[in-house]
Amino acid sequence: MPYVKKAMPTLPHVLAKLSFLTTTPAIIGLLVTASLIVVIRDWRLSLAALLGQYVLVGLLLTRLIQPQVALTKVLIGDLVCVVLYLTARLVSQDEKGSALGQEDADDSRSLLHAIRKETSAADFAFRLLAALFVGWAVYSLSRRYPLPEVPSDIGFACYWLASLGLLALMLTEEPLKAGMGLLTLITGFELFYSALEHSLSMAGFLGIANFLIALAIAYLAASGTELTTEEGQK
Amino acid sequence: MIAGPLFLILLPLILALLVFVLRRWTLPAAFLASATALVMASLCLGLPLDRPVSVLGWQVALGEPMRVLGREFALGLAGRLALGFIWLIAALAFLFAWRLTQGDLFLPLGLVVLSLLGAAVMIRHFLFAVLFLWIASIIVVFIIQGEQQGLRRGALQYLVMVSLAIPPLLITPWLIELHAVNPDNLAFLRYAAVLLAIGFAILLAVAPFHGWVSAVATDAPPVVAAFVLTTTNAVVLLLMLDLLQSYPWLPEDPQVFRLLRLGGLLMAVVGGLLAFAQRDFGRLLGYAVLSDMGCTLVALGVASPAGLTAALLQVAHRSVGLMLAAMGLAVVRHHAGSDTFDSLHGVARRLPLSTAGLALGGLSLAGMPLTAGFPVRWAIYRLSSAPGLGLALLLSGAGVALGYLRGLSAILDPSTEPQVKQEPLIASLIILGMIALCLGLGILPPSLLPSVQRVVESFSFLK
Repeated sequence: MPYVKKAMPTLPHVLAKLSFLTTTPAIIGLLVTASLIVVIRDWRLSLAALLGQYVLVGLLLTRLIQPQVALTKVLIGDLVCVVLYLTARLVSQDEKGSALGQEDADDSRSLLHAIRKETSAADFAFRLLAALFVGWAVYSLSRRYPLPEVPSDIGFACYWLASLGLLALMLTEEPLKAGMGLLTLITGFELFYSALEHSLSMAGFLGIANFLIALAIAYLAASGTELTTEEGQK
Repeated sequence: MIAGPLFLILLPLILALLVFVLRRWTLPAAFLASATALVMASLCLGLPLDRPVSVLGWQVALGEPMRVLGREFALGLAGRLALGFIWLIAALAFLFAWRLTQGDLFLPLGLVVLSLLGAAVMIRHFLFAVLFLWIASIIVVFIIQGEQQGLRRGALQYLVMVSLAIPPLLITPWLIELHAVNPDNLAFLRYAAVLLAIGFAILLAVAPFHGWVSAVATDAPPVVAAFVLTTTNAVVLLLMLDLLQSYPWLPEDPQVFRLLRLGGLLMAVVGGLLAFAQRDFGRLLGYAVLSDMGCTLVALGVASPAGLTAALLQVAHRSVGLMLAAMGLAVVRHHAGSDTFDSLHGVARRLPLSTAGLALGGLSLAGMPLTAGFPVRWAIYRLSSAPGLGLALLLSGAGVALGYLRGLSAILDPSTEPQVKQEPLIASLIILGMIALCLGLGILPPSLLPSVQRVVESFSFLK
């Protein structure tokens, strides 16, 4: 049988195939990802949720703006996640190193471990409750004051992302977690704003701002690590 | 022929690269950054706006508009004065950083920030001005944190608060356009006014959004804190004035000026009360600035050319007091290792000029007589039509002054012999110059008044 060379699928083809994702599934996905960023403390899961969030927002954006611009926004989101991933790895390695150093000296380690576990369970429950409460508030808000210029489901997603981002900011002082909250909030705003302002230069500026915020967060998160301290001493 | 805006934006960006390369060699880096700032200041303040002039063989037309990607950049009278002044203050800060480092990134990124703030002032489109301001503010985060080890809350708080202020400001022009299409629907204007109020309240640190000011003053190197609070505040005020000029319905609404007075009063009261309660000079500086910025807003809220003149003059006079206090604090913190009152007993004997600078700068922020802060504060007290308002501002200044006097009593304590090195000569000389400037502005008639009055005349919304 002769070999038939298949043409590479174009962006419109791919988007046509993924069109079923650009409605309810994307909204449900955003409900999950933003909740994970607020509730889960593990940076790997939170970062995976942030990455998923950028992809889902990109899919929703295809309903509002040109697919190419939406794709660019997803790519910027991916870059942001790469920057945060590298920083989070650096920070977690540093924390592991200091924890191992303290291990021997700590006589009551098991007791501390138990207390920490108890605290993190309470923390998880509190965050979950707060997210549920905010979710209920967002639902009422989006019904009472629907956002103009965007379909109602996207309006709800904007409210959801902005509110959960704000909640994440209020619940932590860690730069990485707070940064993910800030980026979530800005993503929610951008989703709405894309419907109002279509200029490419504006999209470019917002992309630059997002990337710079990621760099600033990475810089702040890395400031406390021993690696930067050693570098500073050299 | 080179258009002025191109020169004012590109030149510092190019030189920032060079300063970045030189950043480990403090002397050449500081001198290059300071010289750049001085050249930019003299270009802004010295060149005419209406005709081209030859600068180093190039024809530079300062007032010539420039278009980039369809957006127009042009330097107006107010922008020229604001930028010239900001560059002058920056030149002093960069020079001081030669003897007392404020972080390796301060010099190169300081130039980048000033270039972006210049773009924000010159671009003739509110949306993009806000975006330039946002990007400049994100870069400021790097210089607030500097190379300090451990997380500092100031940088993160600043990043978060500025980023929260931007969305409301970006949505406003769209609402105003909607109103232009539907002139009968006043709801759009109401929403726009509310969003503008929220955005500017956060950027100007109106209570309850004031936390970032004290956090920055505590956590950033002192001169960096003064640089940030001076430059960004001046640009935000200018953007606000441009907005009032561009949209006549805003100044026509008396609620706008009432809101400005109320916000200013809140800031002044909160700043004065909290300044009195502080036990370290970093936080005290933050609350002193807050109290003074509150007076500026009250002066704007008076809604008269005299009020606007006082507000603009106060921005200039405040920056002298603030920079002086910050320089004094930088030396004290560097030599004593802390800035809490308890740890500074008797330090004045080893650091007399720095202590004098710290105290005089602080008292200037409080608006005490004979200092740079006094003449304008006095004018604002007299402009406040409601008797309670002037008294509240006066008490706010008294709170700040008492805070500084408490700190001064600890630092002057004769019973303790401090283990502190003598103050560095060059830094002391710069502080001495600033002390003379601060006293001169407090005693002599305000030399900036004619220029400021010309700028005020260019704003027609108060006629």
